[in-house]
Amino acid sequence: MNLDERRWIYGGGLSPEWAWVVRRRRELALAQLAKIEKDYLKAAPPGVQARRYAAGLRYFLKTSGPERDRLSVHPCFDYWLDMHARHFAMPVQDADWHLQFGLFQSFPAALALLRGDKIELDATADPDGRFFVYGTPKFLSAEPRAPLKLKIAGGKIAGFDFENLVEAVPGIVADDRGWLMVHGVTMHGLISLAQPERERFAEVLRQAFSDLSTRDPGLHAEMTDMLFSLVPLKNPVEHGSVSSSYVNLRGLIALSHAEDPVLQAETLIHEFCHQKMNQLLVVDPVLLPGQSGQVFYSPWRADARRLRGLLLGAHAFLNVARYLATSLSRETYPDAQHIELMVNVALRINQVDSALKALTGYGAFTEFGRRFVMGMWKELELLRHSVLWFPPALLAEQAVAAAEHRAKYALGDTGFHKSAEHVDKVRRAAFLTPEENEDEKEAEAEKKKGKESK
Amino acid sequence: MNVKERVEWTKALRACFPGLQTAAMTSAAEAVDGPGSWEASVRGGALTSVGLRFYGSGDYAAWRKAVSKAFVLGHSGPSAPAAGFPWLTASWDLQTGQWTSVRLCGSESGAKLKTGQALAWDFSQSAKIPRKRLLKPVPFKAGAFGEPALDSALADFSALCPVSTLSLEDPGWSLRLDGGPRWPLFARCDIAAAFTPLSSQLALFLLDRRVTELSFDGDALWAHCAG
Repeated sequence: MNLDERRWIYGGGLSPEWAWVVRRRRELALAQLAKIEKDYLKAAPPGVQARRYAAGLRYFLKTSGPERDRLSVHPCFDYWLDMHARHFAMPVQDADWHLQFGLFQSFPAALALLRGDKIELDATADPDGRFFVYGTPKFLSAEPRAPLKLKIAGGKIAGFDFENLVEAVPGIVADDRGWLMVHGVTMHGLISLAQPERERFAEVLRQAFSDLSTRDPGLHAEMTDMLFSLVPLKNPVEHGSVSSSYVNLRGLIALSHAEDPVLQAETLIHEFCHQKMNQLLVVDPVLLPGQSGQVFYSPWRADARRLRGLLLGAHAFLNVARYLATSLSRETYPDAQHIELMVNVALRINQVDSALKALTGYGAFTEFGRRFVMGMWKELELLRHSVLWFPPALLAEQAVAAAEHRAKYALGDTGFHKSAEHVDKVRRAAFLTPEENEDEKEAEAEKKKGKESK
Repeated sequence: MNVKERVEWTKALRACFPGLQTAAMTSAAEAVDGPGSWEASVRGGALTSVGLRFYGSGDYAAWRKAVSKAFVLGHSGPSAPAAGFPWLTASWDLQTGQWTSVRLCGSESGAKLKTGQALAWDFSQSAKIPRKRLLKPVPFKAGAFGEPALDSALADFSALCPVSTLSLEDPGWSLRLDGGPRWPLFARCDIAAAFTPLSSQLALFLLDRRVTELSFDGDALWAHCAG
């Protein structure tokens, strides 16, 4: 399929292209699972094979339908596959087999539950002493790593008391405990919330999703299709908000709680854009492979970024800036927040400009990638029109701030990051403005005077 | 060596490495001043050496003698090879302020060489007589090294910066690049980190020169840049 870059730069809704990319991701995941099943039957120790993990694998692989389609792109399914690839490339113990394949039973359990099928499964509780039926809000408590026998029929699991996770919107849970969900969340600290805090975390996000549905319906449709879970993070005092997303947990966004739905929407858009680009990787890499040798100046931070980091940043902040510009034009905010949002948009425009400059100058792209980057330039230029009514002083102030950041961390006006003080110690060609020349003369005269007086 | 290029090169070196004594290096380089093209080389890993490569022309016999004398490697007179259409590769140790190796390439009377082939004489401080080698570059093909990780990295690299020829000479190798990407574009490639790890520092030295060849001399990786 020839991808249309315009629908990938901003939210394009649940178009056939979107469905094709999701299908491709699902096909790859199921092919990986089929290979794992083969390896399991061949290599699992007899003590592991005695448990009926294979039944769950077979049931999941042979049962096609919309429920399985959805579960195959669940972030925990992503993480389970990734965990298998990492761990089973090395020698493993029986306990590793039980944990890996016992946790997998979550997916056939959810599938049977959603379809109303009858099945018996041998599962394993996670190391925290819970078993989550991923893809549903249900989970149960047990001893850590305990073997579990699940009898599922008629849309129910017999013999266990299940609890439910809070849903921010239907199908998207606020999850601070699912082992496969939080084990891979390594950036920033995880936080375990009390029930009222969970409810509040979900409530603000619910409002953010609601705002998104009217201000950017295309993006909202994609988000509700791709996302399954929102994981709360600790918010250190010095940060307004922290967030992260992962290439092996597509469909999960980790973010700190904030009472401001605009800030939460901004965070959701930012991280979702990364997720969307990570999902797009299954059909097009955008950047040709082999370009991560040099690190480049990042307009967002003091440290350097790879070209892919700049690509993801430019894409995410372009979407954020556009959303905030739309919000500003449609809503009335208190003065302080109004100014803060304008500053945010102006800042993002400068940052995206800088990132696109380095990307265009140094990157080599696929055919789609070239159109994608050129399309982002176009959207950035159009976005400048939406800030025409901003106070000129505010725009000028942000341009100066961006230039100061560049002067501090970039190697001249190139895209390279100024990584070592060595560079600034190098003497550059002399060039003095008339004022500087005068200053120099004065300094020399002072020096001479000092010597004479001695 | 082209005088202006040589002056520019040593000036840039001194600017990048304040306090560096380049007098001995400069006097040796002056000995081979003349028409011809020139390349600067940087060593991967810790940047302890730099190199130069000079494609000469003119009076080969005089040039050969000048090289032997100028690089102070203990070889002179009749033992030095009779090089025709020569080129020279030399490396300079930034810490000791000495030339550590010199390679003289070309041909000799009576040598039967195929197209693209050349003879090379390696001079070093430790060996008394120069070591003679036959250079046999072949067109670069994917999978040339038979090592999956290296071949995969080179396949990605070759798609970004086409490689024209490969010369294998135990224990090293060299890859001649087709056209030679500008150094800033070479630097963004995965494999560049191994060749030019201090890319930010090197930026003022290499500017936007073209990377013409990548090589491994059995000890270190080198990136050769057209001056």
